[in-house]
Amino acid sequence: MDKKTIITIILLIVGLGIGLAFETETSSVRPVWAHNVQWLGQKPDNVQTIEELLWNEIAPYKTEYDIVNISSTGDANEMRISVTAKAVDSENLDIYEYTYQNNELLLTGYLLEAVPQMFRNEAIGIALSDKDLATSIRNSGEPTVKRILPKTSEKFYAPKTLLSVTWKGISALVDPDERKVVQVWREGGTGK
Amino acid sequence: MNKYTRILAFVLILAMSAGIATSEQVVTTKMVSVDGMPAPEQAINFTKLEISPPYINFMLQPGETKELTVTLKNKETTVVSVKPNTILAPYGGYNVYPEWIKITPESAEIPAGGSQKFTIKVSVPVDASIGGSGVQIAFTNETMPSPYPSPFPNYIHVLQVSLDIWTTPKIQIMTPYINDILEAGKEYDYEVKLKNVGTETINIDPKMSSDNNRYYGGPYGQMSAAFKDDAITISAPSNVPAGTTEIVKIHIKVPVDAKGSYNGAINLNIDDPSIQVYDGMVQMNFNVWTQPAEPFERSFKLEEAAPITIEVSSGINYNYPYGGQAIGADRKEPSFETTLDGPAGKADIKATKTLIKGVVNMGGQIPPWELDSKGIYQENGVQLIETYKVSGSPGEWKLKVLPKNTESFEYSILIGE
Repeated sequence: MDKKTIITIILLIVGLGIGLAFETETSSVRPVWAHNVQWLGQKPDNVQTIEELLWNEIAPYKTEYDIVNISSTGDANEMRISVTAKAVDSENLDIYEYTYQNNELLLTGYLLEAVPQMFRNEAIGIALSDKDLATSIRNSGEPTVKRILPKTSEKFYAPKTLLSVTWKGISALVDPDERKVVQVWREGGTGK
Repeated sequence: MNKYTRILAFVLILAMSAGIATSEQVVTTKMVSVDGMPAPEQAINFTKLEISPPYINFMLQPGETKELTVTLKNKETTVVSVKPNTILAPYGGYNVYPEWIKITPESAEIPAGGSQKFTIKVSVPVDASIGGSGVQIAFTNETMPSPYPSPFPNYIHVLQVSLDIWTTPKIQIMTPYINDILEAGKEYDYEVKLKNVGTETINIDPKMSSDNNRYYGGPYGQMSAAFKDDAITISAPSNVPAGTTEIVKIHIKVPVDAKGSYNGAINLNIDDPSIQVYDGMVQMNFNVWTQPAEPFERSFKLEEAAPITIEVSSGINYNYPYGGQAIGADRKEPSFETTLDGPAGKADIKATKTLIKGVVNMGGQIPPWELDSKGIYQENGVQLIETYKVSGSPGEWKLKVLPKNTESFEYSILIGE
């Protein structure tokens, strides 16, 4: 092997190493529980910054996200970011909505229904342990089970993740750790 | 008089003063008792003491201790002496003992317009029974007058204390709730997994809950359940060994004539004191669906040749599921098998237009803790509308519609353009 070939091989190895290092750096930002992350539509310029902020904001509930779709509208000054995530073991979706301004994400709304069936059933069971509620929801069909984030929960109980089990016109706020109903809401009525 | 004698004299004078103050208090707090005087008029003579908060709750595990503070405010113009006394609340449960509760200070003189803080310390012994109980802490001996003899004195200056003694369940019920749509005449199997996370074998004896008969009813009052408890067979082991998971099997044979819904529960009868009665239940909510085998039929007549337009629409599909955003195999969408028989036999009809109509909610009346979902689309119901067009010849026609996954449908037959 002549000198030129050796230098070429060394340069190739170094180049490959640098390339791999960059790739690892980019992908390492994404958490292990987000399997496929896709940006829908036009990507903003600062995708990586937004993603880094997002991974500190969103997380699945006792599961992993199979697909995380991110989309953005607006301009760099004020951008609306929408995240729709599908969990590996739930057909329901988690939806997060943010505004992005001055390098900060602000959660403006969320609808988190990607609760695995086991935990979903558990929450419904806890809700139904409230005798009054169990009697009220006869023949009301299947409830929705939504995850309530600590920021919201602290207004009603404590700053921790709770589950809201809701039938038409009646809802129970459930603490899954302590296995108890912490609040009951009735349409046009008063709580617990 | 030396220094010690002076101190002793001062203490004696102070003690005498306190005695006078206390005896004065007895006079001011004594109720005026006049025979025949109605109780409400007497109430104005009660000592005005404000207890804040008037109600406290302790959630403790056996072996735990917790302190809470309450404040008593004297709203009188004279000093009031108080001496808290723990009393088991009448009918308040019997698994709490007054000795578990220590109140400091043991007594106090609250000056006119002044306040006094009391610390309520509850220490639950390690061998305490699980459950809820109520006790009262009476700060004075004043009681509510009663025209009739009362087995329990009704104290006025009372702090209500509720104690909830709990412990982490040693058995976990993995499926405490079963909800399904069943078809009449079919059989179904469900499994409830019980995991013993403790160190000892726990006995179980699952049985249909004796409360089940009280669950029956509907939005329009009392109605019979779709089927009786004997349609449900439970098979289960007699215990769950430590560190294992056992399965309670539930088999349901839905009678062919079943209609309506069934709401009931299985009491797992778990021999674990940490599991309260309602926690040891598997709640069941079944809606019996009767899928028609034969299509609905409607005959009509054409006097002369004309185009026929048929529109069939499902009811709004709220319950498949209600709310949620289920997609894929679990979602039961409505559908129709539609045929049209004419004078020349079966007409070749195919849907020329299919309309899927949704009901999307963005909030409305929702629980306050779900307000953050306002503005996000939530599909609450789907309606399927199918339109068929054929050329009609004079004579008798018959429309046949076999609906699936819908509890109601509408149809229209338009003859002519």
